[in-house]
Amino acid sequence: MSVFTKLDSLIERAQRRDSTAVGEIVDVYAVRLYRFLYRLTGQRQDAEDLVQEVFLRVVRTIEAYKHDGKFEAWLFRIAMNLARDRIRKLARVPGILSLDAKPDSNDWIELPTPVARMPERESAVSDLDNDDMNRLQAALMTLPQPEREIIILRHYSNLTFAEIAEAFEVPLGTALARSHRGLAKLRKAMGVDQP
Amino acid sequence: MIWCMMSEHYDRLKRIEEDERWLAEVLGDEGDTPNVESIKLRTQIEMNEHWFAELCNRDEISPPENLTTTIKSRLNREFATEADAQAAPTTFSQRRTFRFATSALSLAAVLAMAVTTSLYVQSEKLKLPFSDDSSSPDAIYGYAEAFFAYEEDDMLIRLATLDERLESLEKSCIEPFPDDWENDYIEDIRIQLDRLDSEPDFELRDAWFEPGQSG
Repeated sequence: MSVFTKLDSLIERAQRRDSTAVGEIVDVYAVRLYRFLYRLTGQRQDAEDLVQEVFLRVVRTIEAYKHDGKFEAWLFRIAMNLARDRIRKLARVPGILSLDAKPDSNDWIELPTPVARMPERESAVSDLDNDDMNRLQAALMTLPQPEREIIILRHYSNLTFAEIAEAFEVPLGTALARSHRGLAKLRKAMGVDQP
Repeated sequence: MIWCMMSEHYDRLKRIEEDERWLAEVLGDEGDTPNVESIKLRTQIEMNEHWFAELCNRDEISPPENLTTTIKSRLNREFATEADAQAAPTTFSQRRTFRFATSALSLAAVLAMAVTTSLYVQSEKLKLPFSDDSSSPDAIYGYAEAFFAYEEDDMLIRLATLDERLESLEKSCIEPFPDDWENDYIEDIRIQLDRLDSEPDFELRDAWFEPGQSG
């Protein structure tokens, strides 16, 4: 059975409230969703909570989902919306600053909370000892949210630009431009010369 | 000063707009004959994409070991709750009582949240540091408005949840319910929230605790 046929079958079974099928969908997507949400929020705990929330939403709404071969786009869109809600709420809680630092800011390493809660400050994160990844995460958090979302969605969800544009309800050119601008800023922030 | 800022903002927006239009033009139609500029841009984009993809490939961040187990057990609880909800009401009168109790609980939760919101907003207003820029009435109003907006979002989310619960109860029942008082109440809450949007002086707590203040 091909991967897609198997996924189709899992979705169909999940729509019939088959918890085993839902469990298999969790096995397929949980890690990727976790990484996606972690890069989006910069927080392990947030990513963990949000992955759970994504699958809860999936269970609650999958009956209404019309399978047209874009399950992944649907799934990551749920994840992105939940992450947006979380980020928006954090930004509005008094005492916590916006996650969107100024895009041209040069002080991205020293940004205050919630970037201060970022992975490089978490002592138990052995897999993030890689300096480049730490710097990348910090640089990602300095991007305006739409650019950050598109870049992360593009590279962690395997969606095409056309699918991303559809998910964001923006023209394809806008999605491409945001990605292009964001990546150029990231290269600059990481000290990598432009091609 | 303000004019300069507005002008800068406008220029930035215009630049972004032009950038997007230009990029869409050079990359948009596959039938177009590529020119030097579009080829250069395409190369640049591809190299950026490649650079970032390489970084992502090195991303070895691992989720907690028990992530999928935790998710599955949470989902199993969700399935169990669903099963319970479907099994609970059997006769029409039982279903009606069940529906009433669930709705009452939901409404109580929303009301409790409204009380908390009001009290919290009041306490936060009192805690505001009345110095420097934040002492201006506009700043204070902006602060309160932002906070209300946040709470309002939260309220809408909760309302949506309430709606979902009612809908799922409706689905789980075979016979339709003749009365519609819960939905009327939800509609009333929505009217209050609309007034929050349209009337700057409208206080949420007045609406919630003074009977007959709706709409």
